[in-house]
Amino acid sequence: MSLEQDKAFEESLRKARPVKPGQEVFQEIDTALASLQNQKRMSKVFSFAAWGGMGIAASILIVFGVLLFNGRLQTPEAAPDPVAMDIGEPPAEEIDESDPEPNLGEESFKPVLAENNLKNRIDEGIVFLRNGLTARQYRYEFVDRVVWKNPTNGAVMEMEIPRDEVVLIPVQTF
Amino acid sequence: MGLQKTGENWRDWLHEWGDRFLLFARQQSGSHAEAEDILQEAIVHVWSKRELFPRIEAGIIFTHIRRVAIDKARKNSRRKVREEAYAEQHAAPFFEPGEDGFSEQLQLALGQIPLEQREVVVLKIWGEQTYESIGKTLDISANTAASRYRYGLDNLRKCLKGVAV
Repeated sequence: MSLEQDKAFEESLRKARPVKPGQEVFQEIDTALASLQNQKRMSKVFSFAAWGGMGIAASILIVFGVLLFNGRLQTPEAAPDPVAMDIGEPPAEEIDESDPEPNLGEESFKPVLAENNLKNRIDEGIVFLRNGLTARQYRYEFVDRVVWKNPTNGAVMEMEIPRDEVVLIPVQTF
Repeated sequence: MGLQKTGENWRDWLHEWGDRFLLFARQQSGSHAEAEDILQEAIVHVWSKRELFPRIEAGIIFTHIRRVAIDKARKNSRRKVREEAYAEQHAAPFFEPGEDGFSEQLQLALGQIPLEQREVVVLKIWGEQTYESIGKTLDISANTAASRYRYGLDNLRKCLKGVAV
């Protein structure tokens, strides 16, 4: 068959118009998409709650860590042995009660606040992992903030640490 | 030809392309109703994940129609045989009926050529897809798609011999 004959045959086939899908298909798609939208909204709420819970847990851990670091909490290993204290030698230096300048060092600061602030969530798109999987990459930008206060003179010390968390969520692509 | 990923313009797009998607879905299924189910599922699947696609082209929908059809066939193979037997008796037309009866003859002729050729012919003639795009949709090379198209067209011509084309 010649090329012209093929073209003519193709054109004659194209004249047949396929049947259009019924209106119910459109309605079904509408319904399915609306339902999916609701599911997505609910999953966002749950994910926000989960992240909030993790933030609170992290805050508690940081406060606990700060307290431990500052010696406000004592671990059982670090607790002084009362017997040893009784029989031990007296300390070489004793604090002079009449010292006009009390020690205002790090020891006298008390932690009053520790928080993780989520500043931004960046969707960095689809990434291809080395093992051939595909994942969506989110970057969470936090600023962790810890505040210490000296109750004796009201001095306040603040520390802010910017921190990024990169989260990879596996996705299925076609 | 394509659909931007934003906005809710899938309706207009489906109005324009729905008939060709449905025709391709009909090749993958035993009945008109099942083809509509497949089409619906494919559209919902692609649209709900539209952020993954920079631009939704017709080829993506054709690919998903085929995948959904394969999944459905795996799940319902026994039911499918029953439905196909029923559908053969109550076949809904592939094409809008014409005065000369060519549409009916064409549907019969399409039913006589092998599925692998029919898929390519439908995607090429009515789906307006390139061989490369057809290859991606059917998981074959562009050369294989071209070859199947050539055989499919010849077989279709033989089946339509004597019919006023």
